[in-house]
Formats: sequence, C-alpha cells, structure tokens
Amino acid sequence: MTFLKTSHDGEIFLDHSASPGFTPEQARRLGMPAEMVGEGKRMHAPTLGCPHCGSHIMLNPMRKRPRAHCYQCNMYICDLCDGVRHESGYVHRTMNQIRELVQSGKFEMKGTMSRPLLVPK
Amino acid sequence: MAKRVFESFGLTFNQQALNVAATSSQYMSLRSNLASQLVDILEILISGTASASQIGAFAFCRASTNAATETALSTASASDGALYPGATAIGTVIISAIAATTGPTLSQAITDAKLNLGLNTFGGIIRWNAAPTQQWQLLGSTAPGANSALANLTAGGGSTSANANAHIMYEPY
Repeated sequence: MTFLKTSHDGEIFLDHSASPGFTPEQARRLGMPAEMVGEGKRMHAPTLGCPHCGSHIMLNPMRKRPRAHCYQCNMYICDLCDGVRHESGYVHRTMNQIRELVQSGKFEMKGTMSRPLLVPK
Repeated sequence: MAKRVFESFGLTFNQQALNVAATSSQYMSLRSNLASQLVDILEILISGTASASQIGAFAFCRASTNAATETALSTASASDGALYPGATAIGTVIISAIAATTGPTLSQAITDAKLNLGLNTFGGIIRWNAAPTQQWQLLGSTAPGANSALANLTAGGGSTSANANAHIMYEPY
C-alpha cells in the first residue's frame, strides 16, 4: 500500500562542495538546475520512475510549475506523458499493464513509450 | 539473492559514442547471462579523481548489442563481491566487466533508458539510489534488456576524458 506519493521516490545526490562544478551552460546541457550544481554547491533531489512510460527522471527541486499527477495511478508522471494524456483518443495504461499485454503474446507494441499502440497479432 | 558491489578504481572514462562498441577500460558493464535472470541495480556512485576541472557526462545506458567475451576483472583496478561475506553465489553469475573483446554497444534508441549521472570529476561526487520497485533492471540474456553500462557519453557534451572511481550496487535473482 502506498501511504505517500514520495514513497516512490529514488534519490540523486550531487556534491560539488569541493569542486568547480558546472557552469550554467554545462548544467543546462546536462539537464540539471544551474542554481544547484555550480561551484561549492550540493544538490539533493528525488527521482521518479514514471508509471506510464517506464522512464526514470530527476525531479527538479527548482521547479515552480505543478507536477503532473495521474489520479488513476495515484502517482506523479513525467511531463511527456502528461502532454500525451490530454490528446484525443488517449487510452490510460501503465507500464505493468502494457508488459502483461505484450507478454501474453497476443499484442505487439508500436508507437512511442508515452503513447504506445498495442496492435493485436 | 545476495546484494553485490561492482567497483572500479582509477579508470579514465574517455568519451564513448552511442551505437558503437565501447572501448575497453573506459566503461563498467553488467550483463545478465540467462534467459530467466533478473538483476536489480540499486545504487550507482561516482567520485571524481581528476586534478583539474573535467565535465564527466556520465550515464548508465542500455546496450543495443551485448558485450562479447568479457575479460575477467583484475583485482588491482576492479572487483565484484557480495556485501554479506557468507552469501551463496548465484548459479549463473552476472558478468561484470571493464574490458571485453567487443564492448557493449551503448544504445541510441530513444526508447532505451539512460540515467543521467553527470558531474565535475574535479572533486565532484554523484550518487543515485533507487526506491523500492523503482530499480533499474536487467532481464534475460538478449539486448537491450540484458546489458547496461556506465560510461562518459560524447552525446552529453562533456570533457573528452573523466577520471573517476565508481561503484554499482546490484542484486541478482
């Protein structure tokens, strides 16, 4: 049973307290918040496995926009999957459900990880 | 089964291109070796040992082609052992390697996961821990699920080489 949404959090810890760290340009290129990875900085951030597409993402502690939440999974999801679920014709399926359908041998998966097309064989 | 730690000391991680077999002694590879085998990757830690600023664009990536004929680890630079001294070895062992006749081909498919572990190896340290049920997993014996590797990626836009010590904590089943 899940008590908190943060029960699913992993952790990433980046310590540049004794290092020159990243310049803002280098941080942006690596997809990290520039304010937290410079010289003398220490970043501690949760990570998230998206239940829809199965990717693993770092949750940016400097983010101000609300994080996408799926009420059917009761879990946070990544931004790509959040965009896709507002498209017409979207069918909600978690990675576990997709895996079971594919492993049944009756379907094959096409499309993208965020919007998979399950085609009957 | 028992949790294990695969570590390497003093490697120079030169940049590795995607979709090309990685060069020996510049990556850390873990490969599941049995169709029914499952491996949970629980923690990755990299501590930089460079003497000047170097951006290590490290990532843990799936391999689109498995490594072949891996070289047994040398105790001087790398090791792989159980956390619990009394642990029973698994029947078919996971292949951990930093060198091979053919290194793992780091996948460039957008549907294959990559875990970003970039840091400045001049004094920087990065550690990733997975929450329960959120582990990185290796499955079976075929690509891209069976083999994953830690490397400094050209695609990450970092320095051409990055000196670091690293460990990968994992649990095979």
